[in-house]
Amino acid sequence: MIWTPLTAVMVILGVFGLALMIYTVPKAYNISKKISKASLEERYGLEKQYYLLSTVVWVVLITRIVASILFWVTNESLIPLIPGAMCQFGVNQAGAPYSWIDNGVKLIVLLVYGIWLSLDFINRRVKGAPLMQSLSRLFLLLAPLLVLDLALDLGFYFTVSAVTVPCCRVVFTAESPIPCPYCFVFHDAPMFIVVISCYGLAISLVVWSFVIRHFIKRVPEIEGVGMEAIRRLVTLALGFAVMGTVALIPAIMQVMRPAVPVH
Amino acid sequence: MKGRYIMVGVFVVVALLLIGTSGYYYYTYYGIPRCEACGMIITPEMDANIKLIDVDTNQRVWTCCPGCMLRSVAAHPNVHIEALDSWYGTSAPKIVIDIRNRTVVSVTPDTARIILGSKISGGCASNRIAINETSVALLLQYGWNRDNPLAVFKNEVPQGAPVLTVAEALPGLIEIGIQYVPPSTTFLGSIVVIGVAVLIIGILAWKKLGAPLPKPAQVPPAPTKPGKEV
Repeated sequence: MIWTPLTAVMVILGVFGLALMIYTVPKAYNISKKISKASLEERYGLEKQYYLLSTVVWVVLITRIVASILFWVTNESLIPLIPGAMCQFGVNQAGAPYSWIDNGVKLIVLLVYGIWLSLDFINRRVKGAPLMQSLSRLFLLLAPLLVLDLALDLGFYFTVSAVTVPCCRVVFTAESPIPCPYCFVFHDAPMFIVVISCYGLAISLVVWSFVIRHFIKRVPEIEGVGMEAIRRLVTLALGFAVMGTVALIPAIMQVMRPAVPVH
Repeated sequence: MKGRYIMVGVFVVVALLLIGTSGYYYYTYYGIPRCEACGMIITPEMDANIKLIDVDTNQRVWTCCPGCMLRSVAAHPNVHIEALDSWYGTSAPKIVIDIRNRTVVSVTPDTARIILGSKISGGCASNRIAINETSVALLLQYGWNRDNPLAVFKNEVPQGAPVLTVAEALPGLIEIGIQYVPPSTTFLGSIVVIGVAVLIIGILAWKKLGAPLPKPAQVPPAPTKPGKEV
Protein backbone atom coordinates (compact mmCIF):
# COMPACT_ATOMS: atom_id res chain seq x y z
CA MET A 1 0.00 0.00 0.00
CA ILE A 2 1.14 3.55 -0.70
CA TRP A 3 0.11 5.78 2.20
CA THR A 4 -0.71 9.33 1.13
CA PRO A 5 -3.36 11.64 2.62
CA LEU A 6 -5.66 10.82 -0.29
CA THR A 7 -5.23 7.02 -0.17
CA ALA A 8 -5.78 7.22 3.59
CA VAL A 9 -9.03 9.13 3.02
CA MET A 10 -10.15 6.52 0.48
CA VAL A 11 -9.44 3.68 2.92
CA ILE A 12 -11.23 5.49 5.76
CA LEU A 13 -14.26 6.12 3.52
CA GLY A 14 -14.23 2.44 2.54
CA VAL A 15 -14.11 1.15 6.11
CA PHE A 16 -16.70 3.73 7.22
CA GLY A 17 -19.04 2.71 4.40
CA LEU A 18 -18.62 -0.97 5.15
CA ALA A 19 -19.45 -0.43 8.83
CA LEU A 20 -22.60 1.52 7.98
CA MET A 21 -23.59 -1.15 5.44
CA ILE A 22 -23.47 -3.81 8.16
CA TYR A 23 -25.83 -1.62 10.19
CA THR A 24 -28.29 -0.75 7.41
CA VAL A 25 -28.79 -3.96 5.42
CA PRO A 26 -30.52 -5.96 8.24
CA LYS A 27 -32.72 -2.96 9.05
CA ALA A 28 -33.77 -2.57 5.40
CA TYR A 29 -34.52 -6.29 5.23
CA ASN A 30 -36.60 -6.07 8.41
CA ILE A 31 -38.67 -3.16 7.10
CA SER A 32 -39.26 -4.66 3.66
CA LYS A 33 -40.38 -7.95 5.22
CA LYS A 34 -42.70 -6.59 7.94
CA ILE A 35 -44.30 -3.55 6.34
CA SER A 36 -46.95 -5.30 4.25
CA LYS A 37 -48.44 -7.18 7.24
CA ALA A 38 -47.93 -4.44 9.81
CA SER A 39 -50.76 -3.04 11.89
CA LEU A 40 -51.17 0.73 12.16
CA GLU A 41 -49.11 0.84 15.34
CA GLU A 42 -46.37 -1.42 13.96
CA ARG A 43 -46.31 0.64 10.79
CA TYR A 44 -45.67 3.76 12.85
CA GLY A 45 -42.73 2.01 14.52
CA LEU A 46 -41.36 0.84 11.18
CA GLU A 47 -41.76 4.35 9.76
CA LYS A 48 -39.59 5.72 12.57
CA GLN A 49 -37.04 2.97 11.90
CA TYR A 50 -37.13 3.80 8.22
CA TYR A 51 -36.34 7.49 8.79
CA LEU A 52 -33.24 6.52 10.74
CA LEU A 53 -32.29 4.01 8.04
CA SER A 54 -32.88 6.58 5.32
CA THR A 55 -30.60 9.11 7.03
CA VAL A 56 -27.80 6.54 7.35
CA VAL A 57 -28.23 5.43 3.72
CA TRP A 58 -28.00 9.07 2.61
CA VAL A 59 -24.70 9.34 4.46
CA VAL A 60 -23.43 6.08 2.91
CA LEU A 61 -24.46 6.93 -0.63
CA ILE A 62 -23.28 10.54 -0.53
CA THR A 63 -19.88 9.42 0.83
CA ARG A 64 -19.66 6.83 -1.96
CA ILE A 65 -20.42 9.50 -4.58
CA VAL A 66 -17.76 11.75 -3.03
CA ALA A 67 -15.38 8.76 -2.98
CA SER A 68 -16.05 8.11 -6.67
CA ILE A 69 -14.84 11.66 -7.48
CA LEU A 70 -11.91 11.36 -5.06
CA PHE A 71 -10.99 8.06 -6.73
CA TRP A 72 -9.84 9.86 -9.89
CA VAL A 73 -8.06 12.59 -7.94
CA THR A 74 -6.26 10.01 -5.78
CA ASN A 75 -5.16 7.95 -8.78
CA GLU A 76 -3.87 11.07 -10.53
CA SER A 77 -1.85 11.92 -7.41
CA LEU A 78 -0.26 8.44 -7.35
CA ILE A 79 1.32 8.76 -10.83
CA PRO A 80 4.68 10.21 -9.68
CA LEU A 81 4.96 7.54 -6.96
CA ILE A 82 4.83 4.55 -9.34
CA PRO A 83 7.96 4.05 -11.48
CA GLY A 84 7.11 4.03 -15.17
CA ALA A 85 3.57 5.36 -14.78
CA MET A 86 2.88 8.47 -16.80
CA CYS A 87 -0.88 8.50 -16.40
CA GLN A 88 -3.59 6.68 -14.45
CA PHE A 89 -3.17 3.68 -16.75
CA GLY A 90 0.10 2.91 -14.95
CA VAL A 91 -1.52 3.34 -11.52
CA ASN A 92 -4.28 0.95 -12.52
CA GLN A 93 -1.72 -1.58 -13.68
CA ALA A 94 -0.02 -1.38 -10.29
CA GLY A 95 -3.35 -2.10 -8.55
CA ALA A 96 -4.69 -4.71 -10.99
CA PRO A 97 -7.12 -6.48 -11.08
CA TYR A 98 -9.17 -4.50 -8.51
CA SER A 99 -8.36 -1.17 -10.16
CA TRP A 100 -9.86 -2.02 -13.55
CA ILE A 101 -13.17 -3.26 -12.12
CA ASP A 102 -13.21 -0.29 -9.73
CA ASN A 103 -12.87 2.08 -12.70
CA GLY A 104 -16.02 0.58 -14.25
CA VAL A 105 -17.96 0.66 -10.99
CA LYS A 106 -17.03 4.29 -10.33
CA LEU A 107 -18.50 5.30 -13.67
CA ILE A 108 -21.99 4.07 -12.73
CA VAL A 109 -22.26 4.83 -9.00
CA LEU A 110 -23.78 8.28 -9.40
CA LEU A 111 -26.38 6.96 -11.83
CA VAL A 112 -27.40 4.01 -9.64
CA TYR A 113 -27.17 5.55 -6.17
CA GLY A 114 -28.90 8.70 -7.45
CA ILE A 115 -32.03 6.66 -8.25
CA TRP A 116 -32.44 5.73 -4.60
CA LEU A 117 -31.56 9.22 -3.37
CA SER A 118 -34.02 10.99 -5.69
CA LEU A 119 -36.85 8.60 -4.78
CA ASP A 120 -36.16 8.98 -1.07
CA PHE A 121 -36.06 12.76 -1.52
CA ILE A 122 -39.64 12.56 -2.84
CA ASN A 123 -40.69 10.00 -0.22
CA ARG A 124 -39.66 12.35 2.59
CA ARG A 125 -41.86 15.09 1.18
CA VAL A 126 -45.02 13.00 0.96
CA LYS A 127 -47.20 12.21 3.99
CA GLY A 128 -47.10 8.59 5.17
CA ALA A 129 -43.83 7.73 3.37
CA PRO A 130 -45.60 5.69 0.66
CA LEU A 131 -42.34 4.49 -0.93
CA MET A 132 -40.95 3.07 2.30
CA GLN A 133 -41.25 -0.60 1.25
CA SER A 134 -40.05 -0.01 -2.31
CA LEU A 135 -37.05 1.96 -1.09
CA SER A 136 -36.10 -0.67 1.48
CA ARG A 137 -36.22 -3.33 -1.25
CA LEU A 138 -34.34 -1.10 -3.67
CA PHE A 139 -31.63 -0.60 -1.08
CA LEU A 140 -31.29 -4.36 -0.67
CA LEU A 141 -30.94 -4.59 -4.46
CA LEU A 142 -28.23 -1.89 -4.34
CA ALA A 143 -26.38 -3.62 -1.53
CA PRO A 144 -24.28 -5.97 -3.74
CA LEU A 145 -23.08 -3.02 -5.84
CA LEU A 146 -22.32 -1.04 -2.70
CA VAL A 147 -20.36 -3.95 -1.21
CA LEU A 148 -18.48 -4.38 -4.50
CA ASP A 149 -17.72 -0.66 -4.63
CA LEU A 150 -16.39 -0.66 -1.04
CA ALA A 151 -14.48 -3.93 -1.35
CA LEU A 152 -12.82 -2.87 -4.60
CA ASP A 153 -11.67 0.44 -3.09
CA LEU A 154 -10.15 -1.36 -0.10
CA GLY A 155 -8.66 -4.09 -2.32
CA PHE A 156 -7.19 -1.58 -4.75
CA TYR A 157 -5.64 0.83 -2.24
CA PHE A 158 -4.21 -2.00 -0.14
CA THR A 159 -2.74 -3.66 -3.26
CA VAL A 160 -1.28 -0.70 -5.14
CA SER A 161 2.46 -0.42 -4.54
CA ALA A 162 5.47 1.26 -6.12
CA VAL A 163 6.16 -1.53 -8.63
CA THR A 164 7.62 -0.80 -12.07
CA VAL A 165 4.89 -0.64 -14.69
CA PRO A 166 5.03 -0.12 -18.46
CA CYS A 167 3.55 3.17 -19.61
CA CYS A 168 0.29 3.36 -21.55
CA ARG A 169 2.05 3.83 -24.90
CA VAL A 170 2.86 0.11 -24.84
CA VAL A 171 -0.85 -0.65 -25.24
CA PHE A 172 -2.09 2.49 -26.99
CA THR A 173 0.44 2.84 -29.79
CA ALA A 174 0.29 5.40 -32.60
CA GLU A 175 -1.65 2.81 -34.63
CA SER A 176 -4.35 2.23 -31.99
CA PRO A 177 -7.83 3.31 -33.09
CA ILE A 178 -8.38 5.03 -29.73
CA PRO A 179 -5.89 6.98 -27.61
CA CYS A 180 -5.12 6.20 -23.95
CA PRO A 181 -8.32 7.46 -22.25
CA TYR A 182 -6.46 8.72 -19.18
CA CYS A 183 -3.88 10.73 -21.15
CA PHE A 184 -6.63 11.92 -23.45
CA VAL A 185 -8.93 13.22 -20.72
CA PHE A 186 -6.56 14.34 -17.97
CA HIS A 187 -3.53 15.56 -19.95
CA ASP A 188 -4.15 16.08 -23.66
CA ALA A 189 -7.57 17.73 -23.46
CA PRO A 190 -8.76 18.35 -19.89
CA MET A 191 -11.85 20.13 -21.25
CA PHE A 192 -13.20 16.61 -21.81
CA ILE A 193 -13.59 16.37 -18.02
CA VAL A 194 -16.35 18.97 -18.40
CA VAL A 195 -17.83 17.22 -21.46
CA ILE A 196 -17.90 13.71 -19.95
CA SER A 197 -19.14 14.87 -16.54
CA CYS A 198 -21.89 17.03 -18.06
CA TYR A 199 -23.10 14.26 -20.35
CA GLY A 200 -22.90 11.75 -17.50
CA LEU A 201 -24.95 14.04 -15.26
CA ALA A 202 -27.47 14.73 -18.03
CA ILE A 203 -28.01 11.02 -18.70
CA SER A 204 -28.20 10.24 -14.96
CA LEU A 205 -30.80 12.97 -14.35
CA VAL A 206 -32.93 11.72 -17.25
CA VAL A 207 -32.75 8.13 -15.95
CA TRP A 208 -33.75 9.27 -12.44
CA SER A 209 -36.69 11.15 -13.97
CA PHE A 210 -37.81 8.02 -15.82
CA VAL A 211 -37.66 6.00 -12.61
CA ILE A 212 -39.61 8.64 -10.67
CA ARG A 213 -42.25 8.68 -13.42
CA HIS A 214 -42.48 4.91 -13.21
CA PHE A 215 -43.08 5.14 -9.46
CA ILE A 216 -45.67 7.92 -9.90
CA LYS A 217 -47.71 5.50 -12.04
CA ARG A 218 -47.48 2.85 -9.31
CA VAL A 219 -47.99 5.15 -6.31
CA PRO A 220 -50.26 8.07 -7.31
CA GLU A 221 -49.84 9.76 -3.88
CA ILE A 222 -46.41 11.00 -4.92
CA GLU A 223 -47.62 12.58 -8.18
CA GLY A 224 -47.54 16.22 -7.06
CA VAL A 225 -44.07 16.16 -5.50
CA GLY A 226 -42.79 13.67 -8.08
CA MET A 227 -43.81 15.72 -11.13
CA GLU A 228 -42.27 18.83 -9.60
CA ALA A 229 -39.03 16.88 -9.04
CA ILE A 230 -39.09 15.53 -12.60
CA ARG A 231 -39.52 19.02 -14.05
CA ARG A 232 -36.49 20.22 -12.10
CA LEU A 233 -34.40 17.18 -12.96
CA VAL A 234 -35.07 17.36 -16.71
CA THR A 235 -34.39 21.10 -16.74
CA LEU A 236 -31.05 20.45 -15.01
CA ALA A 237 -30.39 17.58 -17.44
CA LEU A 238 -30.98 19.88 -20.40
CA GLY A 239 -28.69 22.49 -18.84
CA PHE A 240 -25.87 19.96 -18.43
CA ALA A 241 -26.42 18.55 -21.95
CA VAL A 242 -26.13 22.07 -23.42
CA MET A 243 -23.08 22.83 -21.27
CA GLY A 244 -21.42 19.56 -22.32
CA THR A 245 -22.05 20.31 -25.98
CA VAL A 246 -20.69 23.85 -25.64
CA ALA A 247 -17.57 22.47 -23.90
CA LEU A 248 -17.13 19.91 -26.67
CA ILE A 249 -15.94 22.59 -29.11
CA PRO A 250 -12.89 23.79 -27.07
CA ALA A 251 -12.27 20.17 -26.00
CA ILE A 252 -11.86 19.04 -29.61
CA MET A 253 -9.70 22.09 -30.31
CA GLN A 254 -7.45 21.05 -27.41
CA VAL A 255 -7.01 17.60 -28.96
CA MET A 256 -6.35 18.85 -32.47
CA ARG A 257 -3.64 21.16 -31.16
CA PRO A 258 -2.17 19.43 -28.09
CA ALA A 259 -0.67 21.65 -25.45
CA VAL A 260 3.06 22.21 -25.74
CA PRO A 261 4.59 22.62 -22.30
CA VAL A 262 5.96 26.08 -21.62
CA HIS A 263 9.52 25.82 -20.38
CA MET B 1 -39.35 30.10 -6.24
CA LYS B 2 -36.89 28.90 -3.57
CA GLY B 3 -36.60 25.53 -5.36
CA ARG B 4 -35.72 27.29 -8.62
CA TYR B 5 -32.93 29.23 -6.92
CA ILE B 6 -31.57 26.01 -5.41
CA MET B 7 -31.62 24.35 -8.85
CA VAL B 8 -29.78 27.26 -10.46
CA GLY B 9 -27.33 27.25 -7.55
CA VAL B 10 -26.64 23.52 -7.96
CA PHE B 11 -26.06 23.98 -11.69
CA VAL B 12 -23.70 26.92 -11.18
CA VAL B 13 -21.71 25.17 -8.43
CA VAL B 14 -21.31 21.95 -10.46
CA ALA B 15 -20.41 23.94 -13.59
CA LEU B 16 -17.80 25.98 -11.71
CA LEU B 17 -16.33 22.84 -10.12
CA LEU B 18 -16.05 21.09 -13.47
CA ILE B 19 -14.57 24.07 -15.29
CA GLY B 20 -12.18 24.66 -12.36
CA THR B 21 -10.97 21.04 -12.43
CA SER B 22 -10.51 21.13 -16.18
CA GLY B 23 -8.67 24.46 -15.94
CA TYR B 24 -6.42 23.09 -13.21
CA TYR B 25 -5.37 20.12 -15.34
CA TYR B 26 -4.89 22.38 -18.34
CA TYR B 27 -2.68 24.68 -16.27
CA THR B 28 -0.76 21.63 -14.98
CA TYR B 29 -0.18 20.40 -18.51
CA TYR B 30 1.13 23.76 -19.64
CA GLY B 31 3.00 24.56 -16.47
CA ILE B 32 5.10 21.40 -15.99
CA PRO B 33 7.54 20.19 -18.63
CA ARG B 34 6.80 16.77 -20.06
CA CYS B 35 8.94 14.28 -21.88
CA GLU B 36 8.52 15.14 -25.53
CA ALA B 37 8.84 11.50 -26.57
CA CYS B 38 6.46 9.76 -24.15
CA GLY B 39 4.64 12.50 -22.24
CA MET B 40 5.89 11.64 -18.73
CA ILE B 41 6.00 14.55 -16.26
CA ILE B 42 9.59 15.75 -15.82
CA THR B 43 10.69 15.54 -12.20
CA PRO B 44 13.56 17.70 -10.82
CA GLU B 45 15.77 14.55 -10.92
CA MET B 46 15.02 13.97 -14.61
CA ASP B 47 15.65 17.64 -15.29
CA ALA B 48 19.07 17.40 -13.63
CA ASN B 49 20.08 14.10 -15.27
CA ILE B 50 19.63 14.78 -18.98
CA LYS B 51 20.18 18.12 -20.71
CA LEU B 52 19.35 17.83 -24.39
CA ILE B 53 19.72 20.90 -26.63
CA ASP B 54 18.40 21.10 -30.18
CA VAL B 55 21.36 22.87 -31.80
CA ASP B 56 19.22 24.07 -34.73
CA THR B 57 16.90 26.09 -32.52
CA ASN B 58 19.15 26.34 -29.45
CA GLN B 59 16.12 25.21 -27.40
CA ARG B 60 16.12 22.67 -24.62
CA VAL B 61 14.15 19.47 -25.17
CA TRP B 62 12.92 17.68 -22.05
CA THR B 63 13.21 13.89 -21.86
CA CYS B 64 12.58 11.50 -18.99
CA CYS B 65 15.08 8.69 -19.61
CA PRO B 66 18.01 7.70 -21.87
CA GLY B 67 15.55 5.86 -24.16
CA CYS B 68 13.37 8.91 -24.76
CA MET B 69 16.54 11.01 -25.03
CA LEU B 70 17.42 9.12 -28.21
CA ARG B 71 13.80 8.85 -29.37
CA SER B 72 13.65 12.66 -29.41
CA VAL B 73 16.25 12.61 -32.18
CA ALA B 74 13.39 11.60 -34.51
CA ALA B 75 12.06 15.16 -34.17
CA HIS B 76 15.39 16.93 -33.49
CA PRO B 77 18.08 15.56 -35.84
CA ASN B 78 20.89 17.75 -34.50
CA VAL B 79 21.35 17.64 -30.77
CA HIS B 80 23.92 18.12 -28.04
CA ILE B 81 23.33 15.97 -24.95
CA GLU B 82 24.87 16.08 -21.50
CA ALA B 83 23.78 13.21 -19.27
CA LEU B 84 24.67 12.07 -15.76
CA ASP B 85 25.65 8.47 -15.18
CA SER B 86 22.61 6.71 -13.62
CA TRP B 87 24.72 5.11 -10.86
CA TYR B 88 27.32 7.72 -9.92
CA GLY B 89 25.25 10.86 -10.63
CA THR B 90 27.28 14.00 -10.10
CA SER B 91 30.21 12.00 -8.66
CA ALA B 92 31.32 11.12 -12.22
CA PRO B 93 31.97 13.35 -15.24
CA LYS B 94 29.02 14.01 -17.55
CA ILE B 95 28.48 11.82 -20.60
CA VAL B 96 28.50 14.10 -23.65
CA ILE B 97 26.83 12.97 -26.87
CA ASP B 98 26.68 14.87 -30.16
CA ILE B 99 24.31 13.79 -32.90
CA ARG B 100 24.14 15.35 -36.36
CA ASN B 101 21.61 14.38 -39.04
CA ARG B 102 20.41 11.58 -36.76
CA THR B 103 23.89 10.01 -36.68
CA VAL B 104 26.13 9.80 -33.62
CA VAL B 105 29.16 12.06 -34.15
CA SER B 106 30.81 11.71 -30.77
CA VAL B 107 30.30 10.10 -27.37
CA THR B 108 32.56 11.15 -24.50
CA PRO B 109 33.71 8.91 -22.91
CA ASP B 110 33.32 6.22 -25.55
CA THR B 111 32.79 3.59 -22.82
CA ALA B 112 29.26 4.99 -22.22
CA ARG B 113 26.44 2.47 -22.59
CA ILE B 114 22.65 2.58 -22.67
CA ILE B 115 20.80 -0.09 -20.66
CA LEU B 116 17.56 -0.44 -22.57
CA GLY B 117 15.34 -2.16 -19.99
CA SER B 118 12.24 -0.82 -21.78
CA LYS B 119 12.81 -3.54 -24.39
CA ILE B 120 11.84 -6.02 -21.66
CA SER B 121 9.40 -4.12 -19.41
CA GLY B 122 8.00 -1.64 -21.92
CA GLY B 123 8.49 1.26 -19.51
CA CYS B 124 10.92 4.17 -19.43
CA ALA B 125 11.63 3.45 -15.75
CA SER B 126 13.80 0.48 -16.78
CA ASN B 127 16.23 2.54 -18.89
CA ARG B 128 19.63 3.68 -17.59
CA ILE B 129 22.78 5.30 -18.94
CA ALA B 130 26.21 4.23 -17.67
CA ILE B 131 29.62 5.83 -18.05
CA ASN B 132 31.60 2.56 -17.98
CA GLU B 133 31.41 -1.21 -17.45
CA THR B 134 31.53 -0.93 -13.64
CA SER B 135 28.50 1.33 -13.65
CA VAL B 136 26.71 -1.04 -16.07
CA ALA B 137 27.37 -4.00 -13.74
CA LEU B 138 26.17 -2.09 -10.67
CA LEU B 139 23.00 -0.86 -12.40
CA LEU B 140 22.18 -4.33 -13.71
CA GLN B 141 22.70 -5.79 -10.23
CA TYR B 142 20.98 -3.17 -8.03
CA GLY B 143 18.90 -1.01 -10.37
CA TRP B 144 19.69 2.26 -8.64
CA ASN B 145 22.18 3.75 -6.22
CA ARG B 146 20.63 4.63 -2.87
CA ASP B 147 23.43 7.14 -2.26
CA ASN B 148 22.75 9.01 -5.50
CA PRO B 149 20.28 11.80 -4.62
CA LEU B 150 19.59 12.37 -8.31
CA ALA B 151 18.56 8.76 -9.06
CA VAL B 152 15.49 9.12 -11.28
CA PHE B 153 13.92 5.66 -11.19
CA LYS B 154 14.20 3.79 -7.91
CA ASN B 155 13.53 0.32 -9.25
CA GLU B 156 15.48 -2.67 -10.51
CA VAL B 157 16.45 -3.15 -14.13
CA PRO B 158 14.66 -6.18 -15.65
CA GLN B 159 16.75 -9.29 -16.31
CA GLY B 160 17.98 -9.59 -19.87
CA ALA B 161 17.94 -5.83 -20.49
CA PRO B 162 20.16 -5.16 -23.54
CA VAL B 163 23.32 -3.10 -22.99
CA LEU B 164 24.07 -1.06 -26.12
CA THR B 165 26.38 1.70 -27.28
CA VAL B 166 24.66 4.98 -28.14
CA ALA B 167 25.21 4.33 -31.87
CA GLU B 168 23.65 0.86 -31.56
CA ALA B 169 20.61 2.07 -29.63
CA LEU B 170 19.88 5.16 -31.74
CA PRO B 171 18.35 3.70 -34.97
CA GLY B 172 15.74 1.55 -33.17
CA LEU B 173 14.74 4.37 -30.85
CA ILE B 174 14.46 6.88 -33.70
CA GLU B 175 12.12 4.41 -35.35
CA ILE B 176 9.84 4.44 -32.26
CA GLY B 177 10.07 8.25 -32.32
CA ILE B 178 7.65 10.68 -30.76
CA GLN B 179 4.49 8.83 -29.72
CA TYR B 180 1.92 11.62 -29.59
CA VAL B 181 -0.44 11.65 -32.52
CA PRO B 182 -3.82 13.37 -32.42
CA PRO B 183 -6.79 10.98 -32.28
CA SER B 184 -8.36 10.02 -35.60
CA THR B 185 -11.25 12.02 -37.05
CA THR B 186 -13.42 8.89 -36.77
CA PHE B 187 -12.81 8.84 -33.02
CA LEU B 188 -13.53 12.55 -32.62
CA GLY B 189 -16.53 12.26 -34.95
CA SER B 190 -18.00 9.50 -32.81
CA ILE B 191 -17.65 11.72 -29.73
CA VAL B 192 -19.57 14.48 -31.54
CA VAL B 193 -22.31 11.98 -32.49
CA ILE B 194 -22.60 10.89 -28.84
CA GLY B 195 -22.73 14.57 -27.84
CA VAL B 196 -25.55 15.34 -30.26
CA ALA B 197 -27.43 12.22 -29.09
CA VAL B 198 -27.17 13.31 -25.43
CA LEU B 199 -28.39 16.78 -26.35
CA ILE B 200 -31.38 15.34 -28.22
CA ILE B 201 -32.15 13.05 -25.26
CA GLY B 202 -31.96 16.09 -22.97
CA ILE B 203 -34.37 18.11 -25.13
CA LEU B 204 -36.82 15.21 -25.54
CA ALA B 205 -36.75 14.46 -21.80
CA TRP B 206 -37.37 18.13 -21.01
CA LYS B 207 -40.34 18.25 -23.38
CA LYS B 208 -41.92 14.86 -22.66
CA LEU B 209 -41.07 13.90 -19.08
CA GLY B 210 -42.06 17.27 -17.62
CA ALA B 211 -45.56 16.97 -19.13
CA PRO B 212 -48.35 15.85 -16.72
CA LEU B 213 -49.27 12.19 -16.73
CA PRO B 214 -52.37 11.31 -18.81
CA LYS B 215 -55.36 10.88 -16.53
CA PRO B 216 -57.25 7.59 -16.84
CA ALA B 217 -60.41 8.04 -18.95
CA GLN B 218 -63.38 8.77 -16.67
CA VAL B 219 -66.54 6.68 -17.13
CA PRO B 220 -69.59 9.00 -17.41
CA PRO B 221 -72.28 8.31 -14.75
CA ALA B 222 -75.21 6.19 -15.97
CA PRO B 223 -78.22 8.35 -16.97
CA THR B 224 -81.04 8.16 -14.46
CA LYS B 225 -84.71 8.13 -15.46
CA PRO B 226 -86.75 11.19 -14.39
CA GLY B 227 -89.06 10.61 -11.47
CA LYS B 228 -87.06 7.68 -10.11
CA GLU B 229 -84.81 9.78 -7.90
CA VAL B 230 -85.15 9.29 -4.20
